[in-house]
Amino acid sequence: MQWRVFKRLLAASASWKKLWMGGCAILLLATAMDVLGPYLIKHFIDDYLSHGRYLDSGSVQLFVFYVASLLIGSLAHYGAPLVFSRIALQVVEKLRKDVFHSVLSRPVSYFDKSATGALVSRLSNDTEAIKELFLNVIANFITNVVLVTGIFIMMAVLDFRLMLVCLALMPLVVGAMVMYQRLSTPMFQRVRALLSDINAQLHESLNGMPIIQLLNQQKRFNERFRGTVQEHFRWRVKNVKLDGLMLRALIDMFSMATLASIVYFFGNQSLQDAVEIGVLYAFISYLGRFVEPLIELTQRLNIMQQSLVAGQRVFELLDTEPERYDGVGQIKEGRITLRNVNFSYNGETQVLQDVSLDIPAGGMLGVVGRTGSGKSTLMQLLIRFYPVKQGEILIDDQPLNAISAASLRQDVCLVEQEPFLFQGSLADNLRLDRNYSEQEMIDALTKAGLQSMLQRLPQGLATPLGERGGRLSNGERHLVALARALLRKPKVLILDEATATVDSESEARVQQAVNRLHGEVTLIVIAHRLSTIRHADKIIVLHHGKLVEEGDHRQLMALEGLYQHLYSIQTAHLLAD
Amino acid sequence: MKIFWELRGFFLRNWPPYLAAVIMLTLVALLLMLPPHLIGTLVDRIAQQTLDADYLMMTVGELLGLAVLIYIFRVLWRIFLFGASHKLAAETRQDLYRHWTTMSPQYFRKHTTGDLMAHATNDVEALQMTAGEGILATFDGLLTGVIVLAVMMITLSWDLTLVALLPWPIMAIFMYQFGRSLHTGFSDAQASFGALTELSQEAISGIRTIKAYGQEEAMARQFAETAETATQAYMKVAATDAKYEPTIVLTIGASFLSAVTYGGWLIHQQTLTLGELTSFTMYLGYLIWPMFAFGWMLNIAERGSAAYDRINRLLAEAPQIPDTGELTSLSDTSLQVAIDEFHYPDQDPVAGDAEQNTVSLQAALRDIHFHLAAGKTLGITGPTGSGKTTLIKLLLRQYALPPGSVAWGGESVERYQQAAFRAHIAYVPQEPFLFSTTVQENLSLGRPEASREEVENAAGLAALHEDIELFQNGYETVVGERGVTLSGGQKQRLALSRALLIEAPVLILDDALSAVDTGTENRILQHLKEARRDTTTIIVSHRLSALRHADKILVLDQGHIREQGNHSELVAQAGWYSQIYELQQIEQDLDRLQPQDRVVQQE
Repeated sequence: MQWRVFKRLLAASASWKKLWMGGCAILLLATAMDVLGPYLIKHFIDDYLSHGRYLDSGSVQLFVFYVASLLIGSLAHYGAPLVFSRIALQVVEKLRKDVFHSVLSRPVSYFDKSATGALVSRLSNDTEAIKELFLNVIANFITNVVLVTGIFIMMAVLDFRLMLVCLALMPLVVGAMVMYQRLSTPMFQRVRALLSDINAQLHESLNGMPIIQLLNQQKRFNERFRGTVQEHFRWRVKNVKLDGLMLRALIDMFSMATLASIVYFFGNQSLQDAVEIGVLYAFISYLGRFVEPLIELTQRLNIMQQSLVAGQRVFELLDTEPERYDGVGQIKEGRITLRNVNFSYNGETQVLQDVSLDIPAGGMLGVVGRTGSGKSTLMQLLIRFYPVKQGEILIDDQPLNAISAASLRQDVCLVEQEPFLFQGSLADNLRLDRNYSEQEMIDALTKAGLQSMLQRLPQGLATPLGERGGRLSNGERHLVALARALLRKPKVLILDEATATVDSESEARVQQAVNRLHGEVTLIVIAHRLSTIRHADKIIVLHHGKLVEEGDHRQLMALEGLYQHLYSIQTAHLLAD
Repeated sequence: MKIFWELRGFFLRNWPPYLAAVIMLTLVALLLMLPPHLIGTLVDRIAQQTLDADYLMMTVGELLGLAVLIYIFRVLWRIFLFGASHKLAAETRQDLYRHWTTMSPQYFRKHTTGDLMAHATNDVEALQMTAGEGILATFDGLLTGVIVLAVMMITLSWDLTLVALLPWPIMAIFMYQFGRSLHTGFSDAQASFGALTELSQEAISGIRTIKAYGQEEAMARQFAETAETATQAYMKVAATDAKYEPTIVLTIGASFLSAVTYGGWLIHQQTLTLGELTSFTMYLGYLIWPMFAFGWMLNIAERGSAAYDRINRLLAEAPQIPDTGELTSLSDTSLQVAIDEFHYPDQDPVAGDAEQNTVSLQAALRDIHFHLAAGKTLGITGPTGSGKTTLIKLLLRQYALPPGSVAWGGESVERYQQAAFRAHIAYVPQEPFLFSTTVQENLSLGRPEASREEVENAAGLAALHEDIELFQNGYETVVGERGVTLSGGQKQRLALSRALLIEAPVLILDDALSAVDTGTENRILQHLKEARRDTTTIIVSHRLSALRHADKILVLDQGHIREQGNHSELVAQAGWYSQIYELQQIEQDLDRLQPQDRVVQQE
């Protein structure tokens, strides 16, 4: 399974095949230059120094070769990691874009169920872990394997038998690596689990500190935390011991034992025939370069596991089908018809039951009902946030699903109770992805009753609004969202009136804006203050998901039903305030 | 560097492992000087053809022996040194945690959980690095460097040493510069990653708006741009990072080249032997680590020092509510309150919220004077933001007040020992906090030793027992973050059961049943009235039906008492209370109304 993820990640980088090949070519060059150095010095020792020669054309040539190999080698050493980094970063960039796309094309219901933090983590931390895999595991692995191979080749060229002696080291090192992996993985996971336990306890305790203190449980929680910390410490020390026994120290010991073997074989040989001392010199140099890559290989394998888990999570997200609407219908007038609409979020509780209604283009509908009566759901169905399975919603006599996304998003605008504003300037928030002139934006703000706010803002339209529009008051945020909708000149405008948090001044402004729009566009207003919809062409009252009363203000008051009840509560509230 | 001095207390307390580590490190450094010497001598014997089998075997034996010995010492210093450094990490974590359990809510308003968490993770890690790797780099780097240099200069050739080391200072300068540009590059890269995270966060939080306005494509474009910026920023880091390797290759290569060139000349002049040159180049290889160690150490020490300062600053903060009282028990549970004025201390204005600013200048409470006899029930109500919860917090001594402002059992709160005082009060907050563990453990949080029967009893009083029985694992069901999420009403009732279990003589409910339906609320209140007759009870509620039986009701408005009296008195006064009461009666009637009773359609 992890292997599948790994293969898929590698496949994701296949589009950069040329870079991969280029990188490997440069790497080969760098390694060749690396292993050439000791070989040249060997020649100098054996062919010149040992024969009492020092300076002649031959030794100068060796000198020049050495310097050239150094220069070429360092250039190649500069190039290779750059190429590998580029591959890693581009793979991750592409993955990030794909994941983001895939997340945004999920249906709204998906976000009801998923935690924001987890999704953000998929996009940021998990993709980052994949980058580590490419950069620190794969690239590193290739580099080190190439280097070790290069060293062996040079050793074979120098003295095949001595190379075999060194090769005998490999099974030991590989054995140690495998054993280390096997022993350290559970330990490593244990330490990580304990650390996340420590953090979870900390997080929870910091949030629940008042209750811990009120119940006088500080001592017990201190003990519990101490226990986890101590346990973590114990495992950490175990880990340290294993690292100490198995990693650098052990491989260093192997390498020194190999040195002893080389000395032994070389010395023995010298007892029988003439030997070239330079060979010993070169072998010692090569052996010195051997240790670091092997240790790195062992340590990097731990990163790999985490990266693969991250990769799996990312792929799960990528593999889910996105929500698609391919309709081509256009909204021309804005007539809305609902026929026997039933809706349930979870398939159990009916949130809307058999709702039918008809709004002519340019008409104004007021929607009234207590919290939980299904008002907001009705509105969300109208903008196709959730698919309607029973009944029908038609706009201009076309089923909602047959309308193109572009037309629906352009012609039906929604102003939510607590609208979301993006980080950016006022103009950015009004414009979004379209181009509107400054005058158009100012007009929209004026229509929403925000001209005085605009004058107050230090940089006018260019004023940054802060995170989620934090610089504005609740009421102002609502009105900015209204202006944003008005700017688009929609055929249908759905307004979910802001509740308690809006001051009476903003309330009056919304009221005025609604009055002005009446007759121009199809208006659906979910009213919390019934005064806003007094003049609506039609008012519906929802109760427990059913449409229970329908008519204009006067008719409904005459009915002395729910509407009249709600109305009297509100007037009484106003008195109380 | 000063960080090592600042941590001296820890080093002194843990001197045995540190001393052992230092001794082992020294031994390793000294033993490492032998192999080059052995091999050099051997090379000379081979060259002069004076080598015999015995000498060869001896050298090989010595090398193998050294390999084992060095391995042992290396393993040991690692265990001593890193073991000790992890101990520092563990100690610091515990210190921080203990410290935080003494801090009052005011402190947690000032420091966000995220900030505090960062100290307990990143800063502790930096500190641990200093006490482990930092010590290693400083001590071992210096020691090895000095020993190797001394051996090279004294036993081999001082002029060869100087020549061979000629390229090194140049490298040091380059490395220093790379380090600096790497540092800035890194902060840029991190900032770009932060921007990426932030944008993801914004896109997901604002997904409804994005969908409503068809902004998916625009958002994806913006994200793509941010992702590309991040790639570029990381590419810059990679570009700097890639300079290290060639610099090292060049320097070491040049160093070896000078050693062999000049050494060759010396051999040619017959003032140096081939064996000595071999030893020399081996020593030269040993110098690479100390040079890296120095740069590494500076980096670690700098980070460690900053982390240590931050941790110390945190630990130095004294609790805002000092626990200096002596009284250990309340003589009775009568309550006397005399608050002239209360402001929230050092309240930072919330960013961008102009309203908040002006509000915080106003007193949160003023002129609150009342008395509640032991065993009686007090009701508190009023509009949102009128100061109800603030008053409760002061009754619980979560903020400091002038002596005598709040007196329980005739004694001002600060005269009691904190723990003893708290043991007398069971408090149920507005927002119940549940730990991510079982129902049972959450319920018995204040009395872990309580029997199952007592626990079930408390749950029964809060009308929660039947609900728990229906859970999959009953009382062993895991709640909170990871487990089954309880409904808002169940959470509140669980918090109430938890408070009831400690059987304190005072019970405070701060709007603690707001998510429980009226019927259940009445049932619970009835239970409480029967079972806890002698308990002094304070109930904060928006729902006036909950206060009907209170002996005294305070109506708060903008921080002062607007109306007070018992239920019938307040209804008779025809003020805020009576109006709200009437409205709530209508609303209750409405709630009972079923749609089928009243489906009326009229065109």
